[in-house]
Amino acid sequence: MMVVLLNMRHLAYGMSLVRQMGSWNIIKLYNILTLTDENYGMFQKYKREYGKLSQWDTFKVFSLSHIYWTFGCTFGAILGSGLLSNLKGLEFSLLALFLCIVIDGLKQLYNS
Amino acid sequence: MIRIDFIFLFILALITLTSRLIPFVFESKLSFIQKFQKTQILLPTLFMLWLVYLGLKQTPLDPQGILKYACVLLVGFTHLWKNNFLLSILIPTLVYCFFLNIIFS
Repeated sequence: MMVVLLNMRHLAYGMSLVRQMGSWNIIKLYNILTLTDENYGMFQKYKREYGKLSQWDTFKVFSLSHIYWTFGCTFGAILGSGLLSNLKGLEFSLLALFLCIVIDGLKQLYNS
Repeated sequence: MIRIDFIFLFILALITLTSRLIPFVFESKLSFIQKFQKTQILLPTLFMLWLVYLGLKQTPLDPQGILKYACVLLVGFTHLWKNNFLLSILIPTLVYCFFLNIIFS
């Protein structure tokens, strides 16, 4: 149940981006399925800075993020199981990410 | 055991991907949201705020908890100052890890 509730945020991301991902094709499908918290944060940031983001530009950002994510997770799992296994507190980075998105959202609300 | 883990992970992935896809499947019905610019920003922000609350709600007011709250403030300060996601996440996380592992260990 908690997983479903936590995933509700993707519904909110999606609802805020309807009609902004271009027409239906394989690139749009890829962009939607890779719409993570980080990608949503970056999408909003780029949209704010450069106006509307094209489907291809979104694909470039999201696919790079996908590659970083895959290598980062693999590298992190290897480091975490060995060298950094006793390091505590790294989970704080997720809280920091959520907080950054909240601050950005509040700034956008204030400016709109 | 491995098979059960795999099935569990598969279900989690399916829930995640479905929740990402649903708004776009019904985008013609949801396109009215675009007219409400503030709603577009407000919905994800509220969800993020809820996740921040979940991350902090069980934090006690002991020295380690106060450290966490101080690092949350540091995130806010860094992000408002530099407006850079990498710095706003990296600096407070490193400070939190340093204090947690060196000072409080």
